Amino acid sequence: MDRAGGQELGISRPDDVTTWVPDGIDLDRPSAARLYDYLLGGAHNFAHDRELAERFIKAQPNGREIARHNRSFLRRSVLFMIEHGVRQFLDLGSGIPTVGNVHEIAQSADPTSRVVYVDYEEVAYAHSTMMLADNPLATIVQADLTRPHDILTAPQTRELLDFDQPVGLLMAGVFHFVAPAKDPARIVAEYRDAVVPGSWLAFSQFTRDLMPAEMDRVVEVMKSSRDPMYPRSHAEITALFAGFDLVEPGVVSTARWHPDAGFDDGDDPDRAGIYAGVGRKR
Amino acid sequence: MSDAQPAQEGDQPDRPSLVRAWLRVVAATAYVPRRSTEVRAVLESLLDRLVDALATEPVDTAAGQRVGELMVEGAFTGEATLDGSLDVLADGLAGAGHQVRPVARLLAAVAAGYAAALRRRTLAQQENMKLALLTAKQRAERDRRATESRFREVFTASAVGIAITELDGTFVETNPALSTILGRPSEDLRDRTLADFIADDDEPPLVVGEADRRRVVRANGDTAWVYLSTSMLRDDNGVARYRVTMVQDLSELQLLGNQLSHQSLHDALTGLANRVHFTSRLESLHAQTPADGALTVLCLDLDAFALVNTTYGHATGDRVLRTVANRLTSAFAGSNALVARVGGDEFAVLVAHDGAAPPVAAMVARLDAELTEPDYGDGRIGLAVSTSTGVARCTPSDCSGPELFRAADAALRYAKSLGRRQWAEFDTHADREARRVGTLATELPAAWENGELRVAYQPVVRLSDLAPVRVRALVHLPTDRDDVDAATRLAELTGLSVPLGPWLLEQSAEHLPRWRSLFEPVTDGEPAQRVLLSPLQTADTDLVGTVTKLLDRACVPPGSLEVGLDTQSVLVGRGDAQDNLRTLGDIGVATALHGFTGGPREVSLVERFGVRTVVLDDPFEGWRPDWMPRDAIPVRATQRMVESITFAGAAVGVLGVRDHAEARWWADQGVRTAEGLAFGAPGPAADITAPTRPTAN
Repeated sequence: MDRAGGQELGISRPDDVTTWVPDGIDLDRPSAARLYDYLLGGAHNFAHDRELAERFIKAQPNGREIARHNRSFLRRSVLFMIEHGVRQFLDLGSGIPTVGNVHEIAQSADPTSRVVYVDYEEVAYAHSTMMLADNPLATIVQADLTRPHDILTAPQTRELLDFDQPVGLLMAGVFHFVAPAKDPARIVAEYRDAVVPGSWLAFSQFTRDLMPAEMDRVVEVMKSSRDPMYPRSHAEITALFAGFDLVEPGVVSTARWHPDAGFDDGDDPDRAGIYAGVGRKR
Repeated sequence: MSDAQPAQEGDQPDRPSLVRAWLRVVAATAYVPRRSTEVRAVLESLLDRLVDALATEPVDTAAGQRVGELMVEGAFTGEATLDGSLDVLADGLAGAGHQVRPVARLLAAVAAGYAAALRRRTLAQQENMKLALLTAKQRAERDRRATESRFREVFTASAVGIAITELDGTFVETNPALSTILGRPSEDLRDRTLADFIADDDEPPLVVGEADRRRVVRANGDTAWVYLSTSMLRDDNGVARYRVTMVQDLSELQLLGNQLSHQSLHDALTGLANRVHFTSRLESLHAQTPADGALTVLCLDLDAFALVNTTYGHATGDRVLRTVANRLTSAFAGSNALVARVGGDEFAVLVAHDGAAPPVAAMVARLDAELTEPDYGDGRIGLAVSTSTGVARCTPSDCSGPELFRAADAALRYAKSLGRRQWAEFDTHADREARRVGTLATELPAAWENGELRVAYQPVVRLSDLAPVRVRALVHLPTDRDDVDAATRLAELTGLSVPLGPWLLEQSAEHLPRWRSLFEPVTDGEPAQRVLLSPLQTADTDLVGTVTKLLDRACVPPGSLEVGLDTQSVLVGRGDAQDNLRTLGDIGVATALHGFTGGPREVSLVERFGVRTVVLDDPFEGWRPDWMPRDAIPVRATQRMVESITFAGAAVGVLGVRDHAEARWWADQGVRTAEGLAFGAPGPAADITAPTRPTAN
């Protein structure tokens, strides 16, 4: 008896996936994680995700570049933290592992680096578990990042991360999925209070400040997905760094944050759509 | 920069600008998780390959394909990356003086290699995605099935009528109890509404969340008072989809009240006394029996009853149980006896003897003859039942009622460990021995009866770096005494250790996942918990079942558990010892042997059963090996033993290591793991902490 079966729910699947997708998987609802993977050129996505991605790109023609800039910011902020002595990372909302994952970046810089990924989505969790099966220094916790207590007290987290040492908190391209009603300031503060002074926060999220017309269209498009979006202003994002000292150049477009000049700053840094910043806990 | 590579003839002036142009294309079209200098170096080496390929005659298309593959491996895979790259390369290479035709052929090969590699990568990613989806689905399915089967059980077994209806009251599903209350089979309820069966139409509609009394009309026209309460079933979005109504039969409730006292003391299937009735009757008979009178308790367990159920079905199984009940009752008809069904296929008989009690062996033989007579039931299949029997007998001054029952039960477990159709009497000599040892004799059984036993854990370390790699679970007495060994021996003598084994395994299930995640980073798939079993536990028929249950409960792979069996029991083939060792190994449990003395037959067991570890228990009988002369005979004999065990394919572990000097000695002999006071005494689970993480290489 398969009550969750797609047939019963009247889902008709696009032809291209029927051959390799196991029965009973709900591909009806596109996911932000798979959309992001598609924008970065990955194949971990389905027709519904790609359909949403195409609408996303129509609303924001710079979509692929924005995704690249955000991923690139994540990499540079991890390396920046490594240079400042951080060897353990908590990557919140890690999504489907695409190219350039945090443990790959961190462990190629120092093989003893430890990474705890967090995602609440079933498929992202299963995928990460498979990928990390042979890596004793990286793991994934299936939890909702808006419930910091669950994540900070999870056995995997406690086991892998030493909370007496600085931790790199990574919240790259994820808080635009956190509704204001969830009180993002409280969430960030709970993570901040769990780590020692000298720990770091890397944060990036969509903003209306840079490309307002496109952003409004994106918000409209994403309303139909399971991950609606909430852009935030420069002031709102800066306020989330309460208790952290922002490093130069502060909260800026992802392409302007410590770019590898001439390589990943793009043609027009202000078309990066996302604000980013890195701060050190006081 | 061009100075990174030796300059190629012909392309020298254009090379830096070509690389720069290519890098611009990559930067603008793909996300490459590297620094620009690294990407530049990769592009320069790719360009070298292309220029080399053009230098051969005819042009080396295989090298071109390889460049395409390397682009994919390097993640130069944005939508427009290939297109842009080929553009830049065509211009650049032609501009450097290469012939147009070979350049075109070469770049076509690059595109072909790129397309093939990209296709492979896409398929691999889709394959991964498929596996991830499957895993996610299985997890969800498992959760859902568990929830659903719990619901099913409640739904069908409930004495309360349950109706799931559409919002308009049309039945969607009804349970058997509702059919009984309404006096109609479930088919008759289909497509009708609950309101059809309510006697008084003018009553106000039921309020969700409140219970109310109503009269329902049965099939025969009678009416019956019921209690109705209703609630809403909502979907994921909180929209009400169905209504659930509970229907409680008030007349039934009263009838039940009358039956309650009978039901609470009797087994519904056989009509025999149940366990509660049996124990209270035992207490009262114990009090009434004169000091020199004798009481006998027999515990019987049907052999392979599960097989009867699975082969012939539960109806036949029930019939067998009723037959056994009748025969037991008639066998003791003339005596002052009580026959009870105390478990699924377990029976107990309490006999109060007036005058001289018949010999136990004679009683058992008579019963056995009675029970093994085949039962032809409805005349088709003749089923012969065999039983295992445990017997205990004492005078009221010697032991209490519960002690007598426990003794018979322990004797039954002992009998079962010997095989089918065996019987055993509780060993009164062992019991007398126990009395001599003093309070200890009563301590363990009492602690067991009172549920005061705890599981303790002791660290097991890897001798190469003294890192804790697993824990051993042990039974821990509530009082702090050092003669736990004596208590364990007594438990073995009295048969108490048979139930203790499953108890220890069941209790430790709670912590096993924790040990697994604790030690996984340092152990690389080695077991996380060790349990060493006594001879009786080793021979126990139910051992594999107990272990499987533990693994299911803890949700860990079998390899997380190391089970050590008693070597002598396996060697002489006591009970199911050999089957247990083989089956545990087959299902993936890490098997071990302890109580090893080193004989050649023992060593060949290691190879024959693929034993993973041999645990040595104090081969020097209390002497310190590190203080003995290096060429002392016991030392050399032990070295040979370790060598031969290792040669037979097992790792060697040692117990009772006192300090680090002794640990070093064992390490030098090639022994892998050790436990003992040197590394911590048994303690509560919370005392075990994570091993220190391996540091940077």
